[in-house]
Amino acid sequence: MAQMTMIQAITSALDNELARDPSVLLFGEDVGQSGGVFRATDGLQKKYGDQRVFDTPLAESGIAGLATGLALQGFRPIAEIQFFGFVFEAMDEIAGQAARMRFRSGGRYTSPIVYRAPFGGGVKTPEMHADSLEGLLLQTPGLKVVIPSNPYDAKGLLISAIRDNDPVFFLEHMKLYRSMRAEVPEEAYTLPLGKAAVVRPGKDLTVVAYGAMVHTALKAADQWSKQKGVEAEIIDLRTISPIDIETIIESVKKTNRAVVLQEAQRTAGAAAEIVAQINEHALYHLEGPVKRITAPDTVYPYAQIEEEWLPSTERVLTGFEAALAL
Amino acid sequence: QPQGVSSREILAAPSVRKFARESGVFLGNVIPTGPNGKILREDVERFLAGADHAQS
Repeated sequence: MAQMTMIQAITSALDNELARDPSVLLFGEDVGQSGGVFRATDGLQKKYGDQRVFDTPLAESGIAGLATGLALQGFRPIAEIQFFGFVFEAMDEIAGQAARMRFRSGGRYTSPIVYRAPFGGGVKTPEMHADSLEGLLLQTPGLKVVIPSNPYDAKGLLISAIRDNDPVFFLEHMKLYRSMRAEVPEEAYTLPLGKAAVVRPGKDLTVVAYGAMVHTALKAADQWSKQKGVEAEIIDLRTISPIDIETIIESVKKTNRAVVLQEAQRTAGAAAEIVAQINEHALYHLEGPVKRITAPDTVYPYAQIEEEWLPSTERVLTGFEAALAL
Repeated sequence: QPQGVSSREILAAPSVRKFARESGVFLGNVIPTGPNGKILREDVERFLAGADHAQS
């Protein structure tokens, strides 16, 4: 075990899998010699050579297409999109090609690809770096979408993603890269994709969250408990596609109330889908409607005002109160 | 609140839950007659009528 930040846990996962499986390849813009803009691939080219870890030209569609082609030739590509905001350029290769390969070929070909991309607000990045575009991937059949919230989960989920035989989009929140350290094993371990975690038990309200919002939810819940003695149960979704509806329903049966919290705009993200599934599966356990706590439906804001725009602890607490009053 | 029925086992639509809440009725005391053991609004009304009767 070692104390690791999320970025170190990610590097450790990549290191483990490059060592374990010679078909694993790692590529993207500046991931090789430079070690990545966030140091996620630091030292890996030196250790495994430029045939395994390499830089590509500055072209996201080319990078994603390269991953599809290499996967068809038996490799297990890990392709980095430098910032998730640049995914638009690669959407056809991801959603129109790789995600459909198994279906299109009747199982003859598969796409064991991992796309890694940083995203997320709160670190004052320039335009199109922080956007939460996970909702675009959520509606793509054939693709799994993973968003870890801490170093331990990040490593276990990334190793599972690399070993998965179908394409997985692995989204890394920039604010979480170095905001905490946790005990993480140096050796490889896996966490199941599609399985949520109850990160704070409670009996009064179910809160479904993912990414950085898990920490905002935890902060708000602790404050709530201290001030009002009300206990929120927090579920860290970890995988937003597929959604672990069983864990959510188990919790709603206990609390009879739920809110969904996301950093993305109200009409984007995964919240609406989660609300719909709770309504389908647990309506007769609900005291009132399931509410969403989200960012406003605008373009991601200028860096100077992002703290006003992102769901704050105060706004989340107000949302909790509203859900309890229903 | 009376013991015996876990909140997990209580099935009632949000509208029925709201009605029961506003009427001060704990749904664990209400006998369900709806499909799959669901508590209906009439079940709460019947309980209320019975409770009122018992009190008078």
